[in-house]
Formats: sequence, C-alpha cells, structure tokens
Amino acid sequence: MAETAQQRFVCDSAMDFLLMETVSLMQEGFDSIDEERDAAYARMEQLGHRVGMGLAERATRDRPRFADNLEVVKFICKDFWLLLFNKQIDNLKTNHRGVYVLTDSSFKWFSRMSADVAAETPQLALVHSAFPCGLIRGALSSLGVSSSVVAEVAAVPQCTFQIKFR
Amino acid sequence: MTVHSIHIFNKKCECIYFTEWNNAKADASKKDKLEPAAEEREVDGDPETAKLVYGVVFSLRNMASKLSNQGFSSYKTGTYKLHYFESPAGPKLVLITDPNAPNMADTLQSIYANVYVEFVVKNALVKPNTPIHNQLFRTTLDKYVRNLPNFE
Repeated sequence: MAETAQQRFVCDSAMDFLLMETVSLMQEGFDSIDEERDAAYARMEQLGHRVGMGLAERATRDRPRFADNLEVVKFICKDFWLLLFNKQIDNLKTNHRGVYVLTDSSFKWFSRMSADVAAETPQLALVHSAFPCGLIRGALSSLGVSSSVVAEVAAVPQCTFQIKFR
Repeated sequence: MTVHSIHIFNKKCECIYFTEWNNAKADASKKDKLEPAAEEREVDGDPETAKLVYGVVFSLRNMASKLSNQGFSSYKTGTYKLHYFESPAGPKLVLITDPNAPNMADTLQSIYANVYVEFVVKNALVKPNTPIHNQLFRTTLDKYVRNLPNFE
C-alpha cells in the first residue's frame, strides 16, 4: 500500500517512541534485583519474538521456500532489515558451523542514544537490544529454524547480533 | 557577534540545561573556551540566575501578548541581547548574545529541531523533563553554536 514520506515518518517515529517506552516500562521496579532484570529482558525478547514471527510471514508471502540456513540468514540481513530499518545489515560473518554474526554499524534505535557519562552508554543500550534479538529469533523460527540470538553493543550506534542455530 | 549563553527551560519552569561560551567578563585564555565542558557550570549551579531569566521572560511574554498578537521574541539592552523561542510542545530556549546580533529566531528554531529533538527527545536513555547531561547533546550543541556564521 502506497504511503507518503510524511506518513512513513510519523509511523516510524511513533514506533520508535513506543519501543522506548516499552523498555522503560519493563524496567520499572526492576533496578536492583538481577533476576528481575533478566525477567524484563526476557519479556522484551518474547515480545520481539511474536512480532518477528508475524513480520517474517508477511514479508515472505510471495517467495519460494528457502534452500538452506544460509539463505534464511541472508534474507534476514537483506529483506527483513530493509523492511524494518530501510537499510541492510552491514557485515555478516559465519563459521559455517551454525554461528552467524550480524553487524549493524549504525543501528537505527541506537543512533540517538547517549548517556550522561559517555562510557556507560553500551551497557544501558543492552536492554534496548532485547527486542531486536527477539525480532530476529521470531523471524527465524517462523521460517523453520530454531536458534538463539544474543546482542553485543561495543559502542553505540553499532550493534552486533550473534545467531546460533540449534 | 558572540553568543554568551543558552538556557533551556522545561514546561515546569525548571532550567534543564545551561551553558555559556565566551564569557565576556572573564579573562580566560583561549584554551579554556575550547572546553566548555570543563568551564561550564553545572545545570543547577546557578539557580538564581536561571530563575531570574525565566521570570523576565515570563513577564515579558505576558505583557507582549496583551499588547499585540505577535508575542515576545527578543529584547536588547546596552550590554546584551536576549532571544527567546518557545516551542509548541513546551521547552523554552533563551539565548543571550551581544547587542549587535541579528535576529536569531531561525537559529533557535533549528537548535530546537536539530539538536534538542534529535538528541534529547529521541534519546531512549533520557527521561523527559529532567536536567540534560548527556554527552551527545552537549557536543552537538557546542559544535552547532561554534559554527554559527558570526560566532567568535
């Protein structure tokens, strides 16, 4: 369905703000207790999982089946990321034994992040990476691949996702 | 033309950001001025001045609105010129420059749109309406003001 640039802008902004707020909602009251912080992370990841599943189904509606796992990962890097962020993953590495590392050098949701002390930003940004991890895991699982996804933030706005196939 | 300082007030009338650049009164060497982070006062370090500035701006705005439709945008004295910008959403920007400055309304508007909105509103790690401390905002604002055509 055609949309104007303005509509896209409004939708994108609304989405970004909604996600920001979801993360802080999940974090409320979980500050000091480690287990509950993990629980917050897990909830965000589950949310992402469900969204990722639906999104992948819509995105692959007219496509034939994928030949192998590498094709699936390439789909994630190109079409899926393009759909979500209007850009592709910048770097893909694999050890050909089921581990893939995706690097996005300017991850959209991290591009405006900055903490009071610049050095703390990666740590604080990690919670915000739960949702994208879930997105990837959900997309993979709806395409028939079971996996686990972990994110690493070395320096904002760069983000690395590590996919392990089970 | 020099830009002296900038205040940002949130909707609750608190000063959430304050920096000064060329402090005309100080004899500080050039080296000091290149590091506003080092010489800039803490956001809450000068609450009296911030309150005074806000009071002036608030009274002038009310007076101007009663006198005309346009609303208050700047005033000039013998030693400085104060520019005011109020965004529709709430935050108010107050810029103090030397008396010969041209109209800075556009500058203030673009500071709001390109610096404040980008690095404060869209920043996931910042709670809205709290004092602004984050690095990216500070450096961007500093770079922006220093690149103004008449800054010196």
